[in-house]
Amino acid sequence: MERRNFLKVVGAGATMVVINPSMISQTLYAEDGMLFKAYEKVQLVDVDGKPILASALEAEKTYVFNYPHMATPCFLLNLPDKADNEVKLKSEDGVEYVWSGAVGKDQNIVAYTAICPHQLTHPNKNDSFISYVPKKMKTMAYKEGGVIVCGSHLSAYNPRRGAENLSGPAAQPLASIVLEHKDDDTIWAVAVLGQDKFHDYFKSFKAEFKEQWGGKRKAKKLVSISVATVALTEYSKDVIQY
Amino acid sequence: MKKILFTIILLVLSIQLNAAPVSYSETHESKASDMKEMADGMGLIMNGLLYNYLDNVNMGVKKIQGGVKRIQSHDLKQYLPADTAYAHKFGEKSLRRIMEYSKDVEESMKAKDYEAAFDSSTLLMRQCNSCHSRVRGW
Repeated sequence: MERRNFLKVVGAGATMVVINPSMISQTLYAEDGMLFKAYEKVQLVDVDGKPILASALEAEKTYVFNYPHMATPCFLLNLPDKADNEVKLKSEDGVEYVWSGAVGKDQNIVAYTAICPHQLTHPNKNDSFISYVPKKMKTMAYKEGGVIVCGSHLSAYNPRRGAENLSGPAAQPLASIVLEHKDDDTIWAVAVLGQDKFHDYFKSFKAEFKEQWGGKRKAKKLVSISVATVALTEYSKDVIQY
Repeated sequence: MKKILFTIILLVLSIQLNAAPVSYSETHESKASDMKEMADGMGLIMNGLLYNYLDNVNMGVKKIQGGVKRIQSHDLKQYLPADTAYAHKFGEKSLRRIMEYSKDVEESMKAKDYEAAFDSSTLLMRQCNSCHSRVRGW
């Protein structure tokens, strides 16, 4: 390559990165306050590898899949009501972002990371202190059901509004998983929206990662192609709700 | 004969009535002692890491592990204050985490990875506070 052409290529690359910094990190901090990170698009399947269909999801049942890492659990919910659209949310460090809404025919299928941003409570194979409390059930964390509750310190989140924090010590919403619902009724996870706590999470549970995933490196591995989705009661032996 | 029987019954009742508060007091004291031992352990770890008294770190770890084992030998439903007894599973999990983090400190010290020991001691402290804030309703 000639010197002039080389300089042209470097210059064009640098200009593109200046215009769109997400080319480097894939993390978008747009001026409108959006916080978004794209990962590999993966299909939600059952334990036998068959696609999960949106129309087959039981209403108000808590499903779990791991995304974007092998050991980062997320909730998948088929809510009883249509979710709100274009909800403005704010992370604990003041970054604003917009949650655009649910997917599915009735716009009521949502997914969120199941890691409480307060002190990183999450489901594992032994237990889960965080779960969705159905509309007709009571919880100590909030005046009514139909919310995601972290039982560790009683934070409640509104799944109809981007997991906005409603009560308790949590200072920000659960990060949401951006879903795609295809014409064939299949569901795909494509990105994380909002401030996730993955960095702190991977620093905090060394023993658990070793026991359940064979170590932190394996736990951090990104999921690819498809991911098994199961009921929370199958994912964790003991689901504790307060 | 009736007088003797009456006296024995009175004696037994009086002993039982007196025994109850003593037993409560001992339980209460033993809980305080468990917590104090763990707090002392945490203090030793912090002191050891801050001032480079590395033996203190290991002593602190042992104290914390001893405290955890003693609490684990109780039924946590009885051990926790009555108004938070329902959260016994959360308490049990907190104890398991405290044990895990204390082992992490221990292993990091053995490996002379003092930065990792510091990180684990921070997690250990956070776990203690996590349970205390829940029990106290903070």
